[in-house]
Amino acid sequence: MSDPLLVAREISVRLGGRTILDNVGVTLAPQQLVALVGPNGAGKTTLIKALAGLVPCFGKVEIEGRDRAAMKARERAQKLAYLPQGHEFSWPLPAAEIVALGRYPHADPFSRVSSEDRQAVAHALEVTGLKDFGSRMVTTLSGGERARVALARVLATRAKIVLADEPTMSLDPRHQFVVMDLLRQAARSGGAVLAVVHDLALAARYADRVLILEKGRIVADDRPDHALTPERIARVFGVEADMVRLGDTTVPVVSRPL
Amino acid sequence: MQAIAKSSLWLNAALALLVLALMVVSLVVGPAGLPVRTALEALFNGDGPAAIIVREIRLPRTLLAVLIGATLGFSGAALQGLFRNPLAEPALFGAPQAAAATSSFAIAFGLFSATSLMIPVFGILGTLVSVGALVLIAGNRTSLTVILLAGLALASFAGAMTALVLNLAPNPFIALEVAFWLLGSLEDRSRDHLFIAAPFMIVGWVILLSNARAFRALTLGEDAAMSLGVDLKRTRLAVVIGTAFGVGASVAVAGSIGFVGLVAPHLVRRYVQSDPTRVMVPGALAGAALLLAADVAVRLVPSPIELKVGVVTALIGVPFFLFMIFNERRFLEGETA
Repeated sequence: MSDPLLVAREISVRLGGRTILDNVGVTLAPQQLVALVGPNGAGKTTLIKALAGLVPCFGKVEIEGRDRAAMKARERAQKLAYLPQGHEFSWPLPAAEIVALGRYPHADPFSRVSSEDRQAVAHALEVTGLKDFGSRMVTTLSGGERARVALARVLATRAKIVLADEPTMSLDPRHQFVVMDLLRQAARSGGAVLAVVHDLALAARYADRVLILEKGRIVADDRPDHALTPERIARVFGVEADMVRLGDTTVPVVSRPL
Repeated sequence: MQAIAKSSLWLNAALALLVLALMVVSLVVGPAGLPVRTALEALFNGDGPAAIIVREIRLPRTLLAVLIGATLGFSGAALQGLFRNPLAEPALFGAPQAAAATSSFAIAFGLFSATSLMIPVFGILGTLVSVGALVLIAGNRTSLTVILLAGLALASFAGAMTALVLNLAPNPFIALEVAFWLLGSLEDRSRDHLFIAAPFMIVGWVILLSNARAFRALTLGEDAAMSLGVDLKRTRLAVVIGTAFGVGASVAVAGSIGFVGLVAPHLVRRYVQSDPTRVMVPGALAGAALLLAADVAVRLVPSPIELKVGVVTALIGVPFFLFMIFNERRFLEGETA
């Protein structure tokens, strides 16, 4: 296996005297889509933000073999892209302008638009099916379209590492597949994707690996069928799950609370 | 991307022409009633009374209107971009109030007249003290809420100090002078006022413009902007300081002139497709045009005492702003206009 794109060791986050993350280790290898699952309040969002450098944390994060702390913000931003929850935009900008923000870390001092910028934006709009939406104001788009715009912005950066916080939140079933397909594509083209997913079946279907976070600790880091067993789901999430065969994978389907 | 860049170039060119036209109008309008041609010729040559009126009285006044209007436009647009909120404006964190408080103190007790050069110096000092306090209070916790609350507290404190100055003024005439000065005016400002205020304003513009690129990234929210490489702490500090320099100097030479900073960016926002970065320059030009127009208006309205331009901007500004909100409601709420 090739060298990992991101290695985080002994990540701990304390906020207001409370330990949110306790000695968490994460390794993201190229070509992999990793699902981060866990109950509400387990620390998933904090972990994503800590890896992205948005909350102060103890421990060490290496990006492509180099210490993140020694990197300039701009360099880090070229290698690591972060997709926040919610897909909200403060101003009614055209969708193409939002997507072009993905090129922000690549801009030269005179903010000239390079041909690579143009190509990256066009490609991101194309793969997310937004070719005809470029001039639409983002605030006029539906939730699913906004989610795609937000994702296209992340893809336009062409960062190797993508950290996505609940990219499928409040999306209809079809759009959940669309978004997960795009994230998988991003991984297959040589990147590493870590995505917070609440739907365990979706995580099992798409992820190459599943990280389970419980009360600030990693309790499983394995192939989906090894990580998401009915026993562990019962213990961590407090729900009963039936394993259902779907093609050549088995996915957990939550049936009732325990 | 190109389409907007091109359209904002046209917009800037059109606004610049408007500002130039209003500058010419401002140079030829005044109580001296000089013929237009005489006034324009006096700008470049001659040393008769016409030349003195145009070059020593009208020119500084015109240039101050441009500089102050542009400063208010830049500051409003920058604060709206930083706070990701169309209602942000310079008065939000106390910069103009602090300048007003220290300047009125200087007028009331410092034995300077309202048109003395010491007034701007006091005003700029007051703003710097207020911004320094804001930075100290907010410190490393540069969260938006903390900055806004600290700004509110400082603005209220500055307002109270101004009231105290009026309260304790040695005699009613001085209180009246301070009160009039506070209304905001460009009348009788000299070349020296221009020279003392302009450097602060221009430094403020440079600081604000060099941080403007971050505003567009902030459209995605603060976390996403930081993940794109925006140094949010530095940007916040720069915007606060840039605004303090510019607005502090403006208030210090001309008193408080409200609403220009709030309204000017809104006038042009739709023509740059709401881009918080590209709205900066047209917002500043619109601010300059607004203030020039208001300052010409106060000279044209027949009145025994010249109207204060701050009164006019507030009087016209409020209904105009309400009209605009009403008209652009759907646009501001983000629906297709």
